[in-house]
Amino acid sequence: MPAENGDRYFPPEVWKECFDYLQSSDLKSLALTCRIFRDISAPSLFSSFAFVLRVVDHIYGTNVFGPGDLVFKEHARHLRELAQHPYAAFVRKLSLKYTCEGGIVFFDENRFDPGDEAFDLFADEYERSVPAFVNLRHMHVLEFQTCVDDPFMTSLVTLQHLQKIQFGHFYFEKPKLPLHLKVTDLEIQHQLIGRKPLKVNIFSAERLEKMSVDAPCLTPGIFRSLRKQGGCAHLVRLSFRLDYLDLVALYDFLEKCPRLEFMDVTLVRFDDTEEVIEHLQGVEFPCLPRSKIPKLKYFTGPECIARAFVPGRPVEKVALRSSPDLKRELSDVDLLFDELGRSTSTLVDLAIEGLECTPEALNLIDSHFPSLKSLGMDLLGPQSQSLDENETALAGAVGVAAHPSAEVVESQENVSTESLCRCDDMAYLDVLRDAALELMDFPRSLETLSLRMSSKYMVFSTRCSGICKAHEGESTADNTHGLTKAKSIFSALSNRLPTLKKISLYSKETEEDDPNSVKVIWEKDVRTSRWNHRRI
Amino acid sequence: MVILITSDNVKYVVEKDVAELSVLVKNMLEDIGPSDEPIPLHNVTSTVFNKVLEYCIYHRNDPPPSDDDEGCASPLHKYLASHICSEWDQRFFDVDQALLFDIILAANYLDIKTLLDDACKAVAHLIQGKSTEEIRGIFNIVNDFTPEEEARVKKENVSS
Repeated sequence: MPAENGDRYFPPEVWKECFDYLQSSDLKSLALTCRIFRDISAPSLFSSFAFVLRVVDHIYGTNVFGPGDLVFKEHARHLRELAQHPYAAFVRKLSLKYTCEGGIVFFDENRFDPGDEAFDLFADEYERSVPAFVNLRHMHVLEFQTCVDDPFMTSLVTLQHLQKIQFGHFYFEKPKLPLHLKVTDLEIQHQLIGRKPLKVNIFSAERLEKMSVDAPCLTPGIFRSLRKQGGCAHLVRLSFRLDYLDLVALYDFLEKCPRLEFMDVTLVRFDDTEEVIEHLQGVEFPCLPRSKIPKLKYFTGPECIARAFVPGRPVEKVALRSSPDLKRELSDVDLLFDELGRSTSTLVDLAIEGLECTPEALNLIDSHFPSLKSLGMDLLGPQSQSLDENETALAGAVGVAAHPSAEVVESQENVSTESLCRCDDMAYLDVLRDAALELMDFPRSLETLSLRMSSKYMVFSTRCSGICKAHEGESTADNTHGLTKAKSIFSALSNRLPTLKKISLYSKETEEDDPNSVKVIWEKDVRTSRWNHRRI
Repeated sequence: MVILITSDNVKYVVEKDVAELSVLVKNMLEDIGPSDEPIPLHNVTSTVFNKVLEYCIYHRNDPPPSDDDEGCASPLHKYLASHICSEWDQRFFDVDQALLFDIILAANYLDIKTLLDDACKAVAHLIQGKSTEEIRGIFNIVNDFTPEEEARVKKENVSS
């Protein structure tokens, strides 16, 4: 009795509940079983589509003209079929990504030119098809290496339910029409540099709640256009990259963002075609009247902007970026902390790049922000003290009778027995030991500590070379030594900073710079008081 | 105490907080006000109700499901949640398929959201990793597609 398939058991909404727990591979198998299951699983199966146009640069072998043509024609046909399908209304997310294997696309006649006929054919199809996805919520366009013209944008305006737009490497060449696309979440990324800021007037300020503009050539234009519309009454999160000569556009814009709580600022300066890294240390920026952005809670960005924006606002979290080689002077930091201390709320989360984890720096932090819950700073390389010097002191701090075996047994319950004695762990263990011994005054309320260090200290630390060699030579005596030491450090640390439950360590260099970059995380299980260790 | 009567006329005396895990019962109690009138559960047999009661008693002190999660939980979120299941729940749902389906129907009728969610997870478990043929076997499904329809669904599966 085919008609009874499935609904012999449950009404469709109950089946839907069950199917919500399945992955798309399972949904595909289900869709093939019978009509009812097909109808129930279709909305999920049709909710997200990605068109990835992959073209191989012919310099690495394949001639792209033939296959490239086919790829585009094939995708254009798929898109047309999808748009004409009765289930097109189920599509919630559409992404379009254009990739070229083998490097950058060069716009000369011997190579693939995305502006050629085949691509235009696809772009035309896209413009024609998009309005069919009437319930589209999220549009993601990446690496669309062509100028976008009005028909494409106009096709987006017809989508009533569009909430999120993500544009990556997208040109806005001919924004003739003021279109005012209404979305709540806008994300734009573009590396275009050395160009005059472009006018962008296609986005509406009306519903915007979250905006990220990682495109210095577009940021000022977007700010100006949104301000002209009367500002963003609902904007809560703002993240952007801006040429600091365009700061006026930012200040004007912020006057019209009364709900802003999160701000992430990256300032850059361009010199013709290249991005010039400027520390902007000591540069004074004008204060923004306190009545503007009165709800600012979280700030990430350069120190100079933090000084101007944090005082007088209820900021709870500050993260200050710096270039990898910057070292902050303690006297400057003292002045900076005075400014941050003028937040009208209590600062509980502070991350400050370029400030090294020394007893003096920690004294400053502890005296300014005694109720800090989360702290991030830089880690010095290995120090000159001997590894073994403070063993006895540690035993004292652990509060265990100075009987070596008792100490091991005690601490075995507190530290996981994974291999702790890797030489690269040792650089930060010194700091933790000093914290445990009260040689460094961390705020007592600290829950999370993150330390940034040069990756060379995470991979190899000269002071621990002895242990390292022993490790290679399978000398168990030295292994046990490292393990025991780490365990006593963590036990002592738990006594000294009882609320501390997470320590993360990561390398200064970003992943692109350094393939060896690692992340080490120590987490305390609050129920068992056991510290667990993992690396990423 | 609340008196409940199942469709096969079995009488249960249940503590109020346990009985009120069922939104249906809770609403009925609010409607009739304080009274010793037994509440009839027309669509639930005692065999199934024993199971439902066992679940409600075990989970009586769980925090109530928050309304915020409803509707906005993403499919991925739900998929991940399907792998988090306590040992007790796993044993509880280790029953024959007919009873599992009856539990779902009862949970749906009595409006006990957590039980319905957990039972649906158990059904999802039956399906996970199975082929189309295997799924038809599990639910006694007859393939009602025409060959053309089936070919079309297959094609759409590839592109989605």
